[in-house]
Amino acid sequence: MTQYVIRRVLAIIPVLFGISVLVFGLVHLIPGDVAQILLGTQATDQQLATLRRTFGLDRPLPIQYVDWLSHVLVGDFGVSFRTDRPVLPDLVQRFGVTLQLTLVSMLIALAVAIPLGAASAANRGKLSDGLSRVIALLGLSIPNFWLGTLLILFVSLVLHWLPPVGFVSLLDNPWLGIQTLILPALALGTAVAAFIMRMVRSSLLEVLRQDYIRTAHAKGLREFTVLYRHALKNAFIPVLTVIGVQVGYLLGGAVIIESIFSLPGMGRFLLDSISNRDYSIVQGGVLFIALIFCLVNLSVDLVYGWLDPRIRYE
Amino acid sequence: MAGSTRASATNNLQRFLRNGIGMVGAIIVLGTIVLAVAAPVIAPYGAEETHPNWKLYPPNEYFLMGTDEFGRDILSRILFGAQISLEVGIISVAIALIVGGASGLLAGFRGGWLDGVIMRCMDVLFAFPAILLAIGIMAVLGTGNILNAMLAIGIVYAPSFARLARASVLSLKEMEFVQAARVLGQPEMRILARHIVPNILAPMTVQISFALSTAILTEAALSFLGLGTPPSVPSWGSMLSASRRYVELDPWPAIFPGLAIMLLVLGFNLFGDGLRDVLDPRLRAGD
Amino acid sequence: MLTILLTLVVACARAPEAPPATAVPTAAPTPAAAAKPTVPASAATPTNAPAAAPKTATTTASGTELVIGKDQEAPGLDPAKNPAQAATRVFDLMYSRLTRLDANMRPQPDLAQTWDISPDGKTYTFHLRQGVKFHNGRELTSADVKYTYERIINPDTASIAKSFFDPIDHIDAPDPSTVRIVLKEPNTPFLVNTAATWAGIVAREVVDANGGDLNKVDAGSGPFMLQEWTPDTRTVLVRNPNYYLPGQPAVDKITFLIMPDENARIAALRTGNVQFTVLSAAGFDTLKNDSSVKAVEGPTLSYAYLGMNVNKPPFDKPEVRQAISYAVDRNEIINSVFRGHARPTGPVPSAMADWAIDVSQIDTYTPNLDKARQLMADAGVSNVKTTMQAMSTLSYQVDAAQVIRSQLLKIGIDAEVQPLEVGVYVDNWKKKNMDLMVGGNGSGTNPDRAVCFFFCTDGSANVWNYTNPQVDSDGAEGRTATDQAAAKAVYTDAQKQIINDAPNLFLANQNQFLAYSPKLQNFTVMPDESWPGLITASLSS
Repeated sequence: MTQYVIRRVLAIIPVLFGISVLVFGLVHLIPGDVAQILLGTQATDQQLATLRRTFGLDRPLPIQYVDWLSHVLVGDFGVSFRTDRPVLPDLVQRFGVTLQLTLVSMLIALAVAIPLGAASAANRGKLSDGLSRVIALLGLSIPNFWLGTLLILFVSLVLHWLPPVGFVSLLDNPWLGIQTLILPALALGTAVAAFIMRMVRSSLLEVLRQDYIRTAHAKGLREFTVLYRHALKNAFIPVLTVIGVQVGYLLGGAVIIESIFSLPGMGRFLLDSISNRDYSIVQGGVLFIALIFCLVNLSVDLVYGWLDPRIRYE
Repeated sequence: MAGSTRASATNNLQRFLRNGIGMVGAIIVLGTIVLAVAAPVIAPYGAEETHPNWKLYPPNEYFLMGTDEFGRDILSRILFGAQISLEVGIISVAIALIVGGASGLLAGFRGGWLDGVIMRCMDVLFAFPAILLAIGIMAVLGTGNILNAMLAIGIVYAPSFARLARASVLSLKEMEFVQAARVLGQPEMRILARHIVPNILAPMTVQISFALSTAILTEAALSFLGLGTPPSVPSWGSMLSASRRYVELDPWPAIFPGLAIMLLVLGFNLFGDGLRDVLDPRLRAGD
Repeated sequence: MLTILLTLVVACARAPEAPPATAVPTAAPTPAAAAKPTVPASAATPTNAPAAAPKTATTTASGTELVIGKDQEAPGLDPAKNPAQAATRVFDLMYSRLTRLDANMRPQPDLAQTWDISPDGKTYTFHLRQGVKFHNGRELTSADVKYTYERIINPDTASIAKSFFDPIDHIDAPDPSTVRIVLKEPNTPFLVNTAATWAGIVAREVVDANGGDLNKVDAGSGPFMLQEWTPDTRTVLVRNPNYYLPGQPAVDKITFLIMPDENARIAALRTGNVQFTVLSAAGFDTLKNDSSVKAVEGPTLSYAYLGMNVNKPPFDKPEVRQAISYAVDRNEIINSVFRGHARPTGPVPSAMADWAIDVSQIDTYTPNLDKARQLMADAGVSNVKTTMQAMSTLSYQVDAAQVIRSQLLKIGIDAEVQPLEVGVYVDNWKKKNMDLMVGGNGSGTNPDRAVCFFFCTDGSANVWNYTNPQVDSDGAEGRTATDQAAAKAVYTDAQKQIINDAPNLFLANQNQFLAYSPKLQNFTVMPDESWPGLITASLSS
């Protein structure tokens, strides 16, 4: 197992390297004077000169990259030109909000998708199966920003069941917090639920075809036991990898949902920075999210390897 | 993966026509294309034509889907918006297909260090959530520009085509007819064109359909955020975003654009599902 | 399935009356009368309100806090350098000036308790209030006033108020509580200009300590002190315990929360998370029947305009600019963008009744597509592809741009709308390199500002590269005129010139919309859309 872990960790290092090159390149590809871009046009000549000196912006690009990378590795993501505040602490703080949104979305998605997918597979061919498949397809096709708008309109403005916009942290006030998070999580999680439901269904059907299931049936075990004790556990493994990819979708989709629901998360932070042309934050934010996503995938790989011994020896 | 040869192509077409899900999808997609192409002719009003006395009216006899905050006909804007969605979807997927597909083919066929480099690059692109990467690329290229949107979305979805192409090539490489061609000394390009490409068309087509649905969603999202098309241009995403301010005064402008996006995306998803059912039983969504 | 259900319920919840029947339409019909289907106001006060953390007037350990939902962030807080209202609204509360405007827009004592004007109108002697302290503790003296004005006039500062005070010849500070400002010639608007937010008196040591730039710090002596500025999130001002007017400010703390999304501001106001906010016409119409908040509408001295860069082809041709004037339907803009809450205007807004010319009869204001197309043909200009910039967070600008775009398309001009964020927009504005730009001007209380600040060749806000010697001389005469009638004559001439040359199209003089909690008392609405009412406003509980 340890060998597997080491191998997986080593494998993502070139990817991390590539990510850093891409992010560094993104900002430096923007037409214009980099110092001016990073500091904004209100900057005085003195500030521009200082920045150029500090970051050696007149030196060749590869050297600049190494310099930037060495700062990043110690957690110095630069400072915002508008606020002079270091980028990383703000990113981390806003990420806390995005994290809450992502977690709640994923939980809702799993809570809906797994039972539905299992029931659908168990009732294969029947009307309820067909119905669930259609619902899943609708869920995949509906734009999450439209769903969010409709939810606000319907649930908040017409029915007054939940507050329309705004955020209360789960850590401050769980009851109010969940109220502010349900609608955004629903909007964001629906597509994920649909996707996972389809995966669960197909994976389960695959497993149910296997010999050992027939053996279990032959042994006279009840359908329920067969389904949940034997089939689902094994069916879950490929679903696990899909979850990893879906987290990426959630992180990206959070950008839009946070805008609609006025959640002070990282997605909105990034969007505002783009319109403000605050490229230090754009650079830091994109890097941060890519890193998180990478780590999530790595964890999924590791759990996968732990669950399914066959993978370890590939 | 058992490739389908030309002889069974007609066979597949017949099977597809009998596949309910796929046919519904095909009808939706084809219908939208027809409407989009015919928009200048069938749209009752111009896309940017304002009627200030008819602001924010619900659907009525003169404006079948109602009007927006400037008195512009929503139905007409939806029709012209279909042009944008389809245009961006098709071109960006074409970019992704060409760039990604070619890279994957090359990587799989040549192998070796080229394979390693290409696939590492694709891994890096995969490491970013799609919409985030699209936003980042737009930030660099310049927002509010439809060409940049096509490019950005194309780059974002290239890696999935690369992976698919590579996997298909790898499995085909070992097949007898390919080995035979090599032994016979046929030039590489010929082998690729004659033997490989026709046999990877099937899974690629399925992927293309799903890629189109995702690309259309992504373009709508970019426009919704104000990063895609400039204001006034009737992209469905920006129509939706503009409607939010007036949603308490009139909800209709918030309903139709979203419905349109959902229907078109659903169409491509159904089409892809149907294709997959027909072309590769093993890949079917569990049947 | 779910969505179809949702949409059906929503649609049913809003069953409107049928629109009035008109004749069979061939193209777009015009509905008879203004009978529009009424949408039942679902904006009723939520009874089972699941209000997220509903708040009453927050009483912190140290006193009352007023939370304000602000639509835009200030690009910076240096009083001499920031023209945008997003900025002036904040540093208006941080800095004192020689005088301040009252609700009738007349100068009243602020730092200057009394003043004398010499008979020749060139020397102003201000007697300063004693014992005023800057926020850093130091006492304010006449040297500070002298320093502040010299800083504004200094071209290195690039102050937005420079053209107000260029007429100053020199300043004396004979003793710590007397300032004598000597002008080159009499200048009618001078006293009013000393009340400008841009003329806030600054502490020199703070300027020097920050490299000449006050954008991120507080160098003031006004009713509120800057406690925290987290751009794009929050600006916190706390009361100045040493403020010289008794009982002011009434609240202990003001927190500006930056909330560009109007829906979010409205929601926050309803739940009580903010107690004061600014709205667009649509927001006002949404809230005006909501009894849980107080929505007010007031006149302004501002107008929305379409600016054209007179140096850039094809806008360098007067025929093209006039064609644009004939093509743009100002009534449609008033109707669609401001939902009727505005009126046509010239460079002097109609609310400035003494000075504004009557624009109801002006030929170029009447939409005439034929004339417009003819003028374009005369100028030999066709198939223009250009850009029109607007401030993204001010919805009326983006909306006006869209309406103008659709109108310009009819005469062969394709102007792509470019919404820009405040900082970037102001930058472009200052750089004078735009093509077309939609904007809003606060034209102040005196015609000199309305006419000269924006359209004289050396006016600090003339970013259109526009120059007309006649307007310049009108401006100069108006400034020094002693006779009201003579002044009116030259300003009328200037307005006519400007409208004819059309460096800007004057779209509408719009109203302002504010909404606040019923608990907010003693807030006076100012026609220049500033919020000094926050100094006297109090929150009951």
